[in-house]
Amino acid sequence: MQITRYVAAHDSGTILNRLTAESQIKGGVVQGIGMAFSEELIIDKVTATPINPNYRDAKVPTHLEAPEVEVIFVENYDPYGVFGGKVVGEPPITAAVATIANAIFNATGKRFKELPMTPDKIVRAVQV
Amino acid sequence: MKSFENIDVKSVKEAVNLLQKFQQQKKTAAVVGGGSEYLQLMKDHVVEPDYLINLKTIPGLDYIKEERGAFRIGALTKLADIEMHPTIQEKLLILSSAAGEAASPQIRNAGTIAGNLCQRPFCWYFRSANFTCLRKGGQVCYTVTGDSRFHAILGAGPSYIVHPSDTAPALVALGAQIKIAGPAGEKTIPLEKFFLLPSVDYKRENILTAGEIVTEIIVPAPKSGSKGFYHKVRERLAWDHAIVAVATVVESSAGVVSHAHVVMGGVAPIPWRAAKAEEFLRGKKLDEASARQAGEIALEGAKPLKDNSYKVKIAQDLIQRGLLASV
Repeated sequence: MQITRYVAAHDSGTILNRLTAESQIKGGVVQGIGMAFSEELIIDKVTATPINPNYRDAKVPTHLEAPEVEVIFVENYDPYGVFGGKVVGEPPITAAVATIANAIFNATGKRFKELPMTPDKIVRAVQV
Repeated sequence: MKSFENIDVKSVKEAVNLLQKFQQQKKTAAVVGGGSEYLQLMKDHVVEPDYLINLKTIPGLDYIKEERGAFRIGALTKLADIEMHPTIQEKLLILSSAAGEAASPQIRNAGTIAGNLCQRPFCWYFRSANFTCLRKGGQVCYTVTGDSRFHAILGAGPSYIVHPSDTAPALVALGAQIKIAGPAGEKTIPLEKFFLLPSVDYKRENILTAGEIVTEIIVPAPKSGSKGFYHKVRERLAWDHAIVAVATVVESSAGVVSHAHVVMGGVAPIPWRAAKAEEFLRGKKLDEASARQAGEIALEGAKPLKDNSYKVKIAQDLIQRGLLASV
């Protein structure tokens, strides 16, 4: 699986600093990609012991998983926010996981309701 | 990490002698090239040696030479140097790409070819200090009842590790040989015979015994009209081991196969040669159907554990894709 294009459109109110706001979105998207594709704390069920407590096996995304993210801000003035701003924060992560799950549904016709969506789950779902 | 003493050696002979001496003194010692793998084992408390013998200080073990129809690769040659070497890229592309698929750029800049072939398994039970598994002197292989999604489907039992090396399947497919120095002198054996199945010895992955060191890999130059392909499926595009890797080398003319080599990584405790599929392909015209059938034959007899049956399908598809790319 590979993400060929990623567009993130966010309503974050008035953007106060475009560079850092875009970086925040991009960072969130990459975290979401990790959550969608590979990151997982795996517990051995028999002994109730974590078996991948390290960066090699817990698989956070690398540069190769991070696509070029196109960021669009739907700017509007928020009367309750500081200088008309809303939030950038963590919303990009939430959207990324659902977006990728929808893209996989679009490609395979299968809905995945368990994260991460790893090759074993996808091969099993597509084979049946 | 337990404290240890580092010894810089100047020659292979000195290293062999030291290994023998420490064995007689009942001390544990290990040889280290790049160290990217062995230091990790030490940090994970899988091994706790008294002495580390640093091979990097031996001059003249880091080379790639082409002579008399073969490539000679020194044991200390870095994976990145094999990946980037212009002649290897031109004549042994399969080896260059296999080296380039290993680990991450940082590790490839430190890790050596001999170290890559002598890696210990990356099974999470083996690597965890919380489990004393069969391979570490315990009673059981935890994979059988535990999480076996990355484990072996062929040739396994009583231990279910997979061989982690990327270069090994490519080198076996190319018919490489390995040169080993030891107390009894030097010997050269086919690389295929270097690896050990757990049914033979479940505590070792290769035939090296105390005092033996890998010194050189010899790769015969491919025959004209032969083409190779290496492909690896994994969860993450870098710094990840193969779920399934397939190395194919095919000698053919006008699409008809005279010799085919199909070797899989990530599916068995050793680089797994699909001998029956190779035999099946001899004299056949390589097309979608015959490549598909070769993949099915290669996976006959696969015994997946409860979590890894998906590897069978991936391996069949990869073999088909690899064979079609190799003509």
